[in-house]
Amino acid sequence: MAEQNIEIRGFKPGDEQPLLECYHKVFGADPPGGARNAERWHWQFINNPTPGGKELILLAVDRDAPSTKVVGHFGGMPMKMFDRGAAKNAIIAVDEMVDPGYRRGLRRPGLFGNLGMEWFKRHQSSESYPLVYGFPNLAHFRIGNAVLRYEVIRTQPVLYREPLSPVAAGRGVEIVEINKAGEEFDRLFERLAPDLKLLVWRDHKYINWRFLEYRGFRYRVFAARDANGLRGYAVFRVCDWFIQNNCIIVDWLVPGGDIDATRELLRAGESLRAESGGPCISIMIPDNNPWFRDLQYEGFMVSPTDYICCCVSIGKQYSPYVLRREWYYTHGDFDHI
Amino acid sequence: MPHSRFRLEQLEIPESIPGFTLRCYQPGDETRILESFNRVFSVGNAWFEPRTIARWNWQFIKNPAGTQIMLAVHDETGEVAAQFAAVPRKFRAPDRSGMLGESVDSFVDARFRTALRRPGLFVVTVKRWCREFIGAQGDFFLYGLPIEAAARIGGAFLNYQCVENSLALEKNIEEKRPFGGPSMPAVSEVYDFDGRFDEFWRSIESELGMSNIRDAQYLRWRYLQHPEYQYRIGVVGDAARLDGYAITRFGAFDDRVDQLVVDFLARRGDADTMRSLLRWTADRGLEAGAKRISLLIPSSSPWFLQLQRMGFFVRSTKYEWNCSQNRKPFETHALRKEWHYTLGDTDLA
Repeated sequence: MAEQNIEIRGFKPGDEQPLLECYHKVFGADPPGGARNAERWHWQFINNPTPGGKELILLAVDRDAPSTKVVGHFGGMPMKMFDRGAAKNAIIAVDEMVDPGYRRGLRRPGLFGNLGMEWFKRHQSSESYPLVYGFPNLAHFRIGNAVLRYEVIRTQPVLYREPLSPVAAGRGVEIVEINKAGEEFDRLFERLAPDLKLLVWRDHKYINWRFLEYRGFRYRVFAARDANGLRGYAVFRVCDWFIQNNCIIVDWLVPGGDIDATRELLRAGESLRAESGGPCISIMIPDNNPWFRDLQYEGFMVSPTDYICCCVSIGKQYSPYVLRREWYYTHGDFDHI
Repeated sequence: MPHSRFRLEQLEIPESIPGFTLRCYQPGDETRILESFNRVFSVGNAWFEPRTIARWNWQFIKNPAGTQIMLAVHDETGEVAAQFAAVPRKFRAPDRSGMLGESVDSFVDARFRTALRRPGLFVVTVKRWCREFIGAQGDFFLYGLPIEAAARIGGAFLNYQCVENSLALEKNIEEKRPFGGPSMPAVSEVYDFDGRFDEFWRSIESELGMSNIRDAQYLRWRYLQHPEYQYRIGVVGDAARLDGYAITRFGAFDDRVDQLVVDFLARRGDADTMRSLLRWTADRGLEAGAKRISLLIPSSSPWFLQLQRMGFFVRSTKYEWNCSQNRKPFETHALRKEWHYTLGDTDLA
């Protein structure tokens, strides 16, 4: 493909459908992480409570095609972060792709590398988005590591629990499934965030948007409460990530050491697992978080995965070493589940 | 905007820096190397124990696989201003064998850091090391568990790649019968690595994917000739053949003191042998006053899961298993799946 045939530009109204067509061509109709459609795209980029998603889309378009033909995409979803008391914005890199027929387009380092370099040039202001992160697949990681300076935060293990023994009961906690998160979630987050240091801002607006507004996936949100209010919550989804019919704890926010709330939330998850007939409950959290150890005491085991948690720190505010030590995340902070 | 990675051989790096002589180790350098090493590494390291000449000689001079040290010597004072060194070891993989190097003890003395000059003294020293020690095929393969500062500079100039974040396995041994269960094969303590170890290695090497070669010659150097650490060696087997071995000592790793399983080998799935070796290790730990036993293995090892089933818990460490290759004979992703290593493959235990 000759260089002059490809235009690199931002998103314009009407690009949604060509973008989805490119996505399906690259990843197939039923990729890991679920199929993309217009509803999901709107949810991710337009309805996101952290604005700016559309402005983060960079497209490669074949100028010679009779109608708009998207042949490459580099973009991300903005996420509001809590960083040791301050609000910052980060970007989850999502759906980076180049149509297989155009991978040699443009000069070295190829269309993907050129798209990525152009994207970072446009968003290099560390004031707006100091951190870009994601779980690139292997091919994406190789080129991103070589050309765009992706850095490894950690090779990501997962914790899983097979139903070999029942989960012990917690005491003094009531578990309630919710369909809409209220301001009690804001208070929980305000209470727990300072200890966790760096994490996605999990206020009620975020919880509602991320887990309860999009109907394409069925997330189940369980709140652990006592007489003083919300003690913690867990979000579950049964899907085929890692193993078929996996009952995944997509998000987890429970105070360190609150074993009663933990056990009751796990028992709710265990009921979901039993209903679905799945083999295990699993969770992904940083391996230096105290829950990584404490969940093993509750019967979880650790397994490696192929996932590599990566970042690009624009302006070098976040080294991968700082992120490894201080960033708390779960599946919910990414887009694969 | 992030800049793309580059390779050391592609950089315009001067062959020398005025005021310093770059050269390989020569007999007699060890005193000056240790003076600088002990000064540099003691800063901010509460666990630091000064390196002795006996240990240095064992690690670099007596290593049966050779010596690979490049120095930057300050012309005016004769002090060693920077060092880049590797401890070479033989390895095998399913489709090749050869030599790799554990990157160790590399430093630049802060007094000689050329902060405003790029590339600095350390990078020039690394480049000279590569020129001197890159193999006949023109490739090198280094690995190690760098601390954060070393990983940063290695990532920038040596293309260090994270193979995996090292996870340790640990188990409390204060409980009663920590590895209880049915009767097990007996473990004998031995004081030498005899021909049975060579036989055992040949019989098991193909199970391991890629690994440093653990023949008797290597094991003798690594564990019997070490001038400071007293390792204890337990074996399962009989006079003719081995079914497994464990090498252990009570010591520090990752800022805690445990009974360390420094190295072990048992056939895949031979849980009885493994449990026996662990029980024997736990007994040695209790004798030494340890509260836990701990070990380091890749998370891709079948033992990673098996040991959890035996009651081990997984914890993060401050280390990442890193490698650096110039011609990429191995995909980092493949190394993540196939590389077998233990604490004994490092200089940390």
